Amino acid sequence: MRALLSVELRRMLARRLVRVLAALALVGIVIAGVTVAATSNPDLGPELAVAQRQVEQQRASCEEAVSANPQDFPPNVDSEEFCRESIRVEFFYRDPRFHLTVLRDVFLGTAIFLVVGGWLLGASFMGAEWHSGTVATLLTWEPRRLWVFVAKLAAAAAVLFLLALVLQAVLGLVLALVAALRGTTEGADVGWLRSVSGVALRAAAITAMAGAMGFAIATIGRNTAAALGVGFAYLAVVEGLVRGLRPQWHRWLIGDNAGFFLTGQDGGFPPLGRSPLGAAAVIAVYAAVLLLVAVVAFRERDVT
Amino acid sequence: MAGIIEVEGLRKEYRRLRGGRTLAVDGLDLAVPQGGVFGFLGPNGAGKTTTIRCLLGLVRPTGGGCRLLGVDVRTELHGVIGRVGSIVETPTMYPRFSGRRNLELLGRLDGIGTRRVAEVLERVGLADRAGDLVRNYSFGMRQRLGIGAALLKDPEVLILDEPANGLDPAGIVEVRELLRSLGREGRTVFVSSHILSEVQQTADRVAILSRGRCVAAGPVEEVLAGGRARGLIVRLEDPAAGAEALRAAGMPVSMDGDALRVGLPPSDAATVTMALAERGLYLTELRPDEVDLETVFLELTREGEPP
Repeated sequence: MRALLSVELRRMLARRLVRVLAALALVGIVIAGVTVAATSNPDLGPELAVAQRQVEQQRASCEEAVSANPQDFPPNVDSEEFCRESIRVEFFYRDPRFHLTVLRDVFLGTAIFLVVGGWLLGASFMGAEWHSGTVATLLTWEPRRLWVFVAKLAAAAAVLFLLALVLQAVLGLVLALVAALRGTTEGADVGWLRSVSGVALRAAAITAMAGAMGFAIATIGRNTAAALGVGFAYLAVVEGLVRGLRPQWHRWLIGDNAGFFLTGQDGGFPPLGRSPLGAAAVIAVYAAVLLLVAVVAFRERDVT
Repeated sequence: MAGIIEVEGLRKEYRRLRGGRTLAVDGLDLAVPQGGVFGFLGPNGAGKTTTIRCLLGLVRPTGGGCRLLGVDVRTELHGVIGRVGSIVETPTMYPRFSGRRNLELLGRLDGIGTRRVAEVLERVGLADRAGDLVRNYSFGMRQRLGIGAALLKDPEVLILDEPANGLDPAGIVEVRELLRSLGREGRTVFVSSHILSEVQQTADRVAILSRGRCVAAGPVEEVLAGGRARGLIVRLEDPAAGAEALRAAGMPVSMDGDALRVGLPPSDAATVTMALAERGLYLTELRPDEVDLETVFLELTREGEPP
């Protein structure tokens, strides 16, 4: 089994689609880094001075208004404190620096690309084998189909999980470098790092699960296109219809559970009545059912 | 029945998605003894490839079963697969890997090192192009690579489905020599082919398949004889006089165009010569009445065909 797994890992890593998508992702990360560096301005001086002057003028006007018309304001209000609280410098000034603390949101935003890429790579890993006929060649060397299936699945899931982590790590490092040189790392403390790492790990886990689902459907349909079609039809049509016609069922949709698992309890996703880990378990059950059907099909059907 | 490959009552029916069934193999019995080259012949659609797929566990029989190296293919094939090399139809390899890398990856499954891979590439004549991507290989080179993959395990049994497909004449001769040498080494080579002359020159035993059933099997000479009496073909200037002379000598003779067919084995050629010479008749040609495999094959596989 170890030899089989090792061979499948090599095949997965050597696949052109894996390399092309990884290269495109790296190019995208570099472009993003350059763009953020170009738009981030570490020099706060001139803009901040202008904003502070505006604040002082506004506060002075405010205090005059409070003194002139006290009936328009809460009784016994301290005009200076009221105006200081009401008129803040950040209202007149947009911090031009890139803040590393937005990395969590960046990871949440890029997760969809990882998931789609994971689905595509998982599906094509098996679909391409059927298309080229190499499944038959492999089975004449290792006829235990369950072993072959498990080795291929494990290789695909492991590569996708690690690839997602590595790409996020590279993105994080590039943005950290930009923040250090042309932005700010204020607020990027241990708690933040833990939160960001959690999002990255959850995104990688969902990517691997998406890959496993794509792999399973490509095994059943013996075709990459079938898996991509089914994935698109489900996400774009089935989930949309369910949300529109049976909104109370949304807690059982893969998309909602994936989003909830990714963002966490306070991530802004509608509550599902379960914990983020419970949401992950729901997705895992769907993946397990698909894989079960796939393994039965792989074991029982003729290879012609 | 005892053999390296044993097929008993094998039946395979394919069900089509749009309904309908195709009977590919219909109660096939076959026994392939150890050592030598066994030719597996049959017209297109006779069930050769399906039988091979059943032997390699790629297709599940509808009925009957196969044993390979003494084990039931359905349940214990994994225990003997390391002793079996195979090609099924056109061997498929990863097109974006080199020939060498393809063999190395397959070899890794069985703990086979790069040295053995290099040996095999040399043996199948791909050593010079081993580093090229398989997608740039010609059909014949892919076939050679497939044969290389089959040889990689240094197998006791080789199951080869049309191994000479796509090869040029030189390649066909090389494959013929290779199969012979493998057979002489004591390996069992089970080879399906439609190039009957090749099989006739290579195989020790043959089985002929028609409509999913075995219509003839045994040593090549026996199958060639096909139950008919062996004979001699005689040509001379006056066939009628020659026929009369031979009949007078008590030999069974019939006219075969402008020649005579004498129903005696080739070892009795001297008797025929003497009988004609005694009457002052001299031969222009005397040869055994040979039947080639193609003739036997066509006769056997045409039987039962709709008119």
